[in-house]
Amino acid sequence: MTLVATPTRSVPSLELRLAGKRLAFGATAAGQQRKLTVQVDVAPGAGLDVVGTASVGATGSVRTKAAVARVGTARLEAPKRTVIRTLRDGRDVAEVR
Amino acid sequence: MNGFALAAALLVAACGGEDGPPADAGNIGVPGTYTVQGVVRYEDKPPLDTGELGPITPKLSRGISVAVIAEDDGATLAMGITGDDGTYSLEFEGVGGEPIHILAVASSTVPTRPINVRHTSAAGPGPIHGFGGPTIAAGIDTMHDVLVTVDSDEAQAFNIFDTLVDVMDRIRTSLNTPTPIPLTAFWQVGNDDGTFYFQTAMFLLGDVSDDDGFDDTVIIHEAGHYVEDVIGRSDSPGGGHDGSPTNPRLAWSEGFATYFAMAVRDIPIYMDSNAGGGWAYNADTSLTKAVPTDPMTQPVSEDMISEILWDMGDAPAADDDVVAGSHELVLALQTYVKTATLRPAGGGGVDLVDALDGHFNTNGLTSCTAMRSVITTVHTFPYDFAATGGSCP
Repeated sequence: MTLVATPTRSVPSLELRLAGKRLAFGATAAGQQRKLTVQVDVAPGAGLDVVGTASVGATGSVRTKAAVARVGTARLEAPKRTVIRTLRDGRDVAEVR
Repeated sequence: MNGFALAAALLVAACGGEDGPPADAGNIGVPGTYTVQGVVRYEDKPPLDTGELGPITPKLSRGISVAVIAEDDGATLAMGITGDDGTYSLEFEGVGGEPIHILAVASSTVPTRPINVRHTSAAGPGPIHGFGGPTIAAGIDTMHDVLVTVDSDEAQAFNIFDTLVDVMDRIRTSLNTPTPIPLTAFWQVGNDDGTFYFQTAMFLLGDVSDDDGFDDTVIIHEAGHYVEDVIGRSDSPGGGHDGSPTNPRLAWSEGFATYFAMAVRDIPIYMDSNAGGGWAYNADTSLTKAVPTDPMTQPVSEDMISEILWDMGDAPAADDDVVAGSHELVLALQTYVKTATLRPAGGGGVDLVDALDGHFNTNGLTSCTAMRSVITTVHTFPYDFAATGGSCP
């Protein structure tokens, strides 16, 4: 898997993390791509959510953005019981149970 | 908040529900007046100072709408509002033993807390978020608590509502607005359309990579823009912002909104969780400076504005600055800028210069020395201390 981060403004440093791996970059210009590629092993029939983050800034004012990608089999989702109800006063409510 | 091009995938979780206790045996099939009462809570994930979310913690659902729903035909048998202790008590005409359930609704029609948390919809406002409890039997005096679970994907909606209760209460007490204009929050699992404010509505991310549903400071930050919109004034051109120096009007708007989040919680920390953990910013311990030799119209950081406002508002115990102010006085600057004739010395529209002018015009010049220390010595912003109310010596 490859995490690609592209700052929208020039930053003095940039750090990428993906599936437990970490890679620090120096000054990065706006629009300049930084990449981190890691191998992710998934057992046959299994699935995994892989999280990647990009961080800029120094201690005390770090900002991060994250992305999640699914590899392997899709996550099983139980169907929700959702009913649209209209209360006496006319408010429409999507009820989950 | 900051801008990176990153790919993401989505996922959602499951929901739950189960049967409740049996009815009073002696009243089964008997028409009459029945009551159900209890406490509504939701599962919160409290924000941590690191930017991450803490473990699930049940929290009282204050001021939400609740309804008794008949299972047979879905009719609304009774409606009410929870108290600030999460309690409700609803009386209805029914038949003993008939199957009912409690519907908790992330909405209030109370004029002091006019809040709705809705689903997003391409065709306009979607329905309000609701959570139905398990089926119970109508009884003479049934006790029944409701817990809105994280697994239902509805707990975030109830946290957004509860966080906005704090906002509305603060608006009432600090901004002299007893019946605020209704505020709608749009959120749902999977929403990846960004977090922003627009025309008495806030839109919050619900994406698997970044879900703002439990990020109280993000929610209150957007409510800060609502305060500017309906009580104060904003001339922000909008657009992206990340703490770097930018248009003074944009910086003022974003810096005020972040400060508002800190003032409402009385904690100088802004946090924003995401799938990688999250990030946090402390306005009391961070120091962001302007360029002292540039004019007052220079691009400035929203962080510097949050830091200055926090120093103006926090006092006096364990304070690290010399300004003896209060958050009430700082928040009141919004009512000042709404009607004030602004000096052209700032950036053309409401910005930090106008807010500082408002401080001196409203509160006099007794704080000149302390304000000089914070503004020009610590943050090196070249404010001229020449508001129309009088120049500082």
